[in-house]
Amino acid sequence: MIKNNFYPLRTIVGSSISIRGIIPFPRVAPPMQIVIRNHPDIYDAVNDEVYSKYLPDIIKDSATYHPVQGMDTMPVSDSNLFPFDNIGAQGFLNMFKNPSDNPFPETDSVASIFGYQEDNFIELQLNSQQQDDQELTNHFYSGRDRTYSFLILLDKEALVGGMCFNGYPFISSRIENTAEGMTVGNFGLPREMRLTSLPSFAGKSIEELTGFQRSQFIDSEFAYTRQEIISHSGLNYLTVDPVKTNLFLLTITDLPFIPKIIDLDTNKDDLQNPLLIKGFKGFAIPYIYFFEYKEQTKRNARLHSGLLGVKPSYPHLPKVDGDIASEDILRRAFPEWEYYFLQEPKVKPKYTKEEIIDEITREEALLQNDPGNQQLIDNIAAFRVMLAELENAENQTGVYWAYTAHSALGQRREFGFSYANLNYSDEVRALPAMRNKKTLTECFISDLLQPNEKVTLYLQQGEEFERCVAGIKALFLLIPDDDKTEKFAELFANLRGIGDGINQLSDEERTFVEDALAFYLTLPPETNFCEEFRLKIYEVDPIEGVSPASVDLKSKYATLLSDITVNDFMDVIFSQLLKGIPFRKTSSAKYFALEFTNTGQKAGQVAIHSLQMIRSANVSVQPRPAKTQQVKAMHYRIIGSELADDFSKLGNEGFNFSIDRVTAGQTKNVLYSAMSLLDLLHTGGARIQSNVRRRAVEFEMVENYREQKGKQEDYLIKKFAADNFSRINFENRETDNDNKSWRSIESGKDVNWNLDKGIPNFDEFESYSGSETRTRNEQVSSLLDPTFQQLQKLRNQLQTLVGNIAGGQLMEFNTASNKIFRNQTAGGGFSGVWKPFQKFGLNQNSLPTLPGYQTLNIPPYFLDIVDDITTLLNGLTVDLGTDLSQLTNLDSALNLRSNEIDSLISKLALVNGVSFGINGGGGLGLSEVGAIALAGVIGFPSPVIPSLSAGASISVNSNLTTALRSSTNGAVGSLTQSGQELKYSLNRSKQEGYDNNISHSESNEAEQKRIVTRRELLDRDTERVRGAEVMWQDKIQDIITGSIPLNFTLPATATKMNFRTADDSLRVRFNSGFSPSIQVDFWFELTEETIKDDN
Amino acid sequence: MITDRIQLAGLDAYFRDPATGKVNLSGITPTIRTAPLNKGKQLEISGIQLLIEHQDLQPLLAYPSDNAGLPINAPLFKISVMKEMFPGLFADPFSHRVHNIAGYLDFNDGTLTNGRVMEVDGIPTICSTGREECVWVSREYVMPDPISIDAIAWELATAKLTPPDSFHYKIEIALNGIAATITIDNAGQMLKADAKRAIEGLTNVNINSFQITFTAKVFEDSYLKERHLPAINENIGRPLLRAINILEPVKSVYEINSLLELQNLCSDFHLFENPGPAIPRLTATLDLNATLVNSTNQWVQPDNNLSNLAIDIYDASSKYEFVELKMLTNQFTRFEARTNGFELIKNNS
Repeated sequence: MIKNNFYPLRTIVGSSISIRGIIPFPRVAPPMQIVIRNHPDIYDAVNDEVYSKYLPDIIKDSATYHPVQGMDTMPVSDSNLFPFDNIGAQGFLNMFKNPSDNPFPETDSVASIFGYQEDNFIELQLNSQQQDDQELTNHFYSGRDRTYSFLILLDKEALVGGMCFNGYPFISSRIENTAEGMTVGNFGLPREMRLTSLPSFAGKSIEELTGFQRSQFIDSEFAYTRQEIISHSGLNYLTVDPVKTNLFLLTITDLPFIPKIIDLDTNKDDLQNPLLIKGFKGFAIPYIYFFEYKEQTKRNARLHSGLLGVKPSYPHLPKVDGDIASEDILRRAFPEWEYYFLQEPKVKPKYTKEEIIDEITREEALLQNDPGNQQLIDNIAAFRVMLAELENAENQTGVYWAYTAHSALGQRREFGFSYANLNYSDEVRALPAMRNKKTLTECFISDLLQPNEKVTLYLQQGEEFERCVAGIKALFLLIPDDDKTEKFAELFANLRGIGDGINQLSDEERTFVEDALAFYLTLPPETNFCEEFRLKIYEVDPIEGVSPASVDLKSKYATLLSDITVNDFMDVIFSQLLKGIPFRKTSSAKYFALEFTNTGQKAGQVAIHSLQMIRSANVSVQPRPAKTQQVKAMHYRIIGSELADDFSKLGNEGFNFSIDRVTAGQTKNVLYSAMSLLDLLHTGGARIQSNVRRRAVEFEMVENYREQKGKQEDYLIKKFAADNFSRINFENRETDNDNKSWRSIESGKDVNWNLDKGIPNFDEFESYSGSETRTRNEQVSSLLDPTFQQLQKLRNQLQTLVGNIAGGQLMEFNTASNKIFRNQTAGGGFSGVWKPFQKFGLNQNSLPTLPGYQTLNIPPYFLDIVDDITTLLNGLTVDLGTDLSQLTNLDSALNLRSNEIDSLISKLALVNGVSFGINGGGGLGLSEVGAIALAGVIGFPSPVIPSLSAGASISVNSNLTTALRSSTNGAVGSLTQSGQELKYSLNRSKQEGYDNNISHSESNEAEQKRIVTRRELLDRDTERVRGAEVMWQDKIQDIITGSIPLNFTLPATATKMNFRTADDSLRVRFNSGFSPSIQVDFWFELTEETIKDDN
Repeated sequence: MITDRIQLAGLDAYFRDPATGKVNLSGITPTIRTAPLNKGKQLEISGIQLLIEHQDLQPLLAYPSDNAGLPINAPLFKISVMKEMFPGLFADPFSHRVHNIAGYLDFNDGTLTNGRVMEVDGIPTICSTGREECVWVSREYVMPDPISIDAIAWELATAKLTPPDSFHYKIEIALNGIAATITIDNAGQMLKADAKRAIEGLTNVNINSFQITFTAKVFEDSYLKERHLPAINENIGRPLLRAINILEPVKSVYEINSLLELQNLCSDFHLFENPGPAIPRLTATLDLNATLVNSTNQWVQPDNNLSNLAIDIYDASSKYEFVELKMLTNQFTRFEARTNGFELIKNNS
């Protein structure tokens, strides 16, 4: 008994990991040729000359038949029932399309390993024979072959879930008539394969290398061995517990026997062993993928399957006289129909054999550079046909091709054979062609079955876990004998001018219709379709150590699932093809047997264009013949991003399920039903790992908060001891701005506003203002300089000036510069230079001068007057001398000067007017200035100088027009104090602008205390955002897991102790199917015990 | 498929004298067996109802003894159940002890050549490796007390429906060192894969120790998909031996020596007492669970009279599942025994 889990929905196959390299290990020369390929994509693996190493030649009547061109290919599988590429309007038919059986994109790289021999073929031994050394010899025996190992390096280190591989499915599929129930070729797959995960090859750090290494533990089980008595033709899986590495060791042994020569002549008289088969022990694995471990769910209806083999019920005996199966002379070579061709060329070709070979070589070289060139492909095919015809004529060689059962599963070859050499009648050739096709497409056609002869196809589920199968779909090819078909065929024959007018399908008409069907399906006209056949489908559950192909279908280890007779054309189309052939119960068996019996009156061939298993829409656990199952519990998990959005449903599409106990075809008990998430949670068995939901839209009010001590209306806030909320809210931010902009401002009454928005409530962009300004100016005079505080000094200075009046400056003062240019201290002194003037580079010790304004008024005759005065004064000096005592005669002195005075007065009078008067008397009088001047001149000690005035005086006045020319130079300082009050201003303007601001702010420190109040927006409650707490396979998802305890036993139906009904099962029904937005996985935890009454 | 389940009823539920058909088995000492079951029929026996009468049953409550008071071997009656304990091996499970040699402990305790012990479908199994003979020699098992062996059954991972020449094997059991050997083979040749996997009728006694040698030669591999320790360039052969079961005969608890023993085995035991010391009657329901079915391995010896199709179910060579009542004393004035249980049938077996 082993604890086991049954996963009807789960797949662990993730994306493929490219293989970087494969090398034999150890590197020794094996006795066979090893070929390793690494194809960039699966299409690159379609054509490879190595496939021809696995196809036999057939010898019959001294002629040798080679595989026709196209036999040695590995086409990409088509998972569809219809050949969609042949039909124009594909839109409607897309609903029938299936995803590929290959879980990886066709563009993914794929590797291949082949081992073969080209000579030293050995004879196949199927019966145990004693040799000289008493060793039993049988090519089904194991442990006789060498072990081959290959190191496989992946492109990257990944979490690897296993290996996926395919044999070469066109090696003979006949299940030999021995007790073993095996095919000799096993589709090229070794019967023992072992995958050992090794530590990663490179890219390891020291820490990783010295860390946990599984291979260093001597009790770590990391090798996985797969042994099979018989392997199927599809994709096989060798799964391992997930391991992260990029290096594996693949070990193979127990190699199959690959037939290379099937000789129908040599032993034809030996009734027990009529075939002489020679070949080699080798292997062929055209597809090798490694895949990442990723748990997903399978939802598509088509279930990938592979062919285990074909078992004819009729003996493959040599043809004898009177053999009614004589039309199929190669019948014994393969369990399916082989079409052969041996005919000399009808028309002598215009090329010699050498020319044809050269041309093929040349065009193949061109094709290398232009792989998609259809013209080249067609030319090469045509030349090969010519070459084959020539060789036929030369060597008595023919060609053959086989219509294998595997091709019905989708992998169909295209045989390169000239239509001209097929024996279509002229009437058939006159049929309108549906397409211009140059090759013949493979499908399954059985050997010619005599009435009541049978052929059985054994199929195996092809995914990594067993699934629940509801039935099959198939496109059978036949011309039934029913009324509808006959009427249709009759009508068709009449339309083509073949009909005989009698309302019954004659043999001739039937032959025409069959040939027409063959023509449209690109089959040879010799195809002899059955009129009807019976199909019985069994599930096969062999006990340990027994091949499913050796199980007697009448025994307790086989259960009949379906029994139909295919004899109605409408049934073929609408029942078998569209509706399918449902099983009587859902089956989770691994193996199935399809037994076809020709129930027609005439010999015929069973032909199937396409065949596929259909998985059940539900999952169920069923009784098995050979194993007693104790079903402990059913587990489930549902994963989806919107799973927990609404508790009233499961996901947006409303996924729901029920668990039924089905007995005797009826639901006796609904054990559990969950229509909503709430149902699941209510039971207590479900757990939900959900992301948080919260409102996406909320009303929010923010109040700034600052604690005010002792204030009653403070908020009650839970505080810790160190909390201090009384500080003011603040934010210190430092911002650097880089700003580029321009502005264009228009203003004025003519500016228009053209925009609809922001219509101004005024009519024009006016601008006016009013202001009042008051100003006080202070002139800084040189006289305010402190050096002028003493009048004496002024007087002295005046004396100096007067003394130098003829040649010196009138007045110069520089000391007021301090007042202007320097800062004045409180004590009246000066400190440094006033800051605004510092930028002019002024030095407080050499400041610019402020000499004050110097105004020069130049009257007319100024120079003459000056000359006169100079003369006058000079004369006066001479006349007076230096001794005042000698000034006794003033009159003379005045007289001496009267000429100059007259001149002076006349000039002044001319300009300013002259008034005359007479005065007399004496006295003392002297203007102070004159006294000073005189005292200075004569050294008179007394300040009062007696004077004598006599004569007349002349005064000049301005009775006449005055002409005066002024000239001012100098510098003064000024201090202005101004005050302004803007009474009103209005400026309306229209502005356009452009700003380009680059700002960088650093928040140095901040503290904000806020009170936030939120309210819901009542009409937008359902708008929510999800949290990101739960992740599944790199996506944010909600996950529901659960377990429902069951604890019931399904006894093995084959045990002698089983006295309960076998029609008892547990079914999980998905009422609304699987929606794309959720992943659903249901699995059963059960223990299985193989029965011991094993015979 | 029709399935039905009815309670056992009528005369067929009684053990009746095969000679006369009487229900009252007093005064005779017959051996009575239930009849062989045809395919599709099953008896689920849950107990045996007894009606026993005697002038005074009181003395029978005690273990039988002679006049001197010494115990004597004089059981009152015995009930046996014949079951197919192992495929092809019919024996009374209540009178046999099974020495089960299996599991990692036993397999790893011996010496294994050209093989390895792997867990196949959860069961420790000796698997062959390579193409040479796989030989497992167990350690010598020493018994605390001498035992007898009257049958041996062995379990192999592969069913008997596998091709006969897929592997060959033989089993040898050395007894008491090298004093004697039980050899299980086919007249000096190895057994084929489809050979019967049990041997009975052995008479080996006073066995203090035994040692098993299992030898197999594998020609064809089987189905295997297991995780295991790495095996570089080693061809794993076929899962082979899972267990060897040695049957030692022991006393059955259903051999009734006294009414006290009977009472101990009954869920319902009632003594009917009349005035006075004598106990004239008892009724009891003996708890005995047995499920009897038809087996493809059963064999019923034809009657000596070849003119009819009668069979002799009491022949020593007849092997099938039954419940047997053997009267060993004729002291009772009335003895009736009736089976309690159900009869099940199915029509598609």
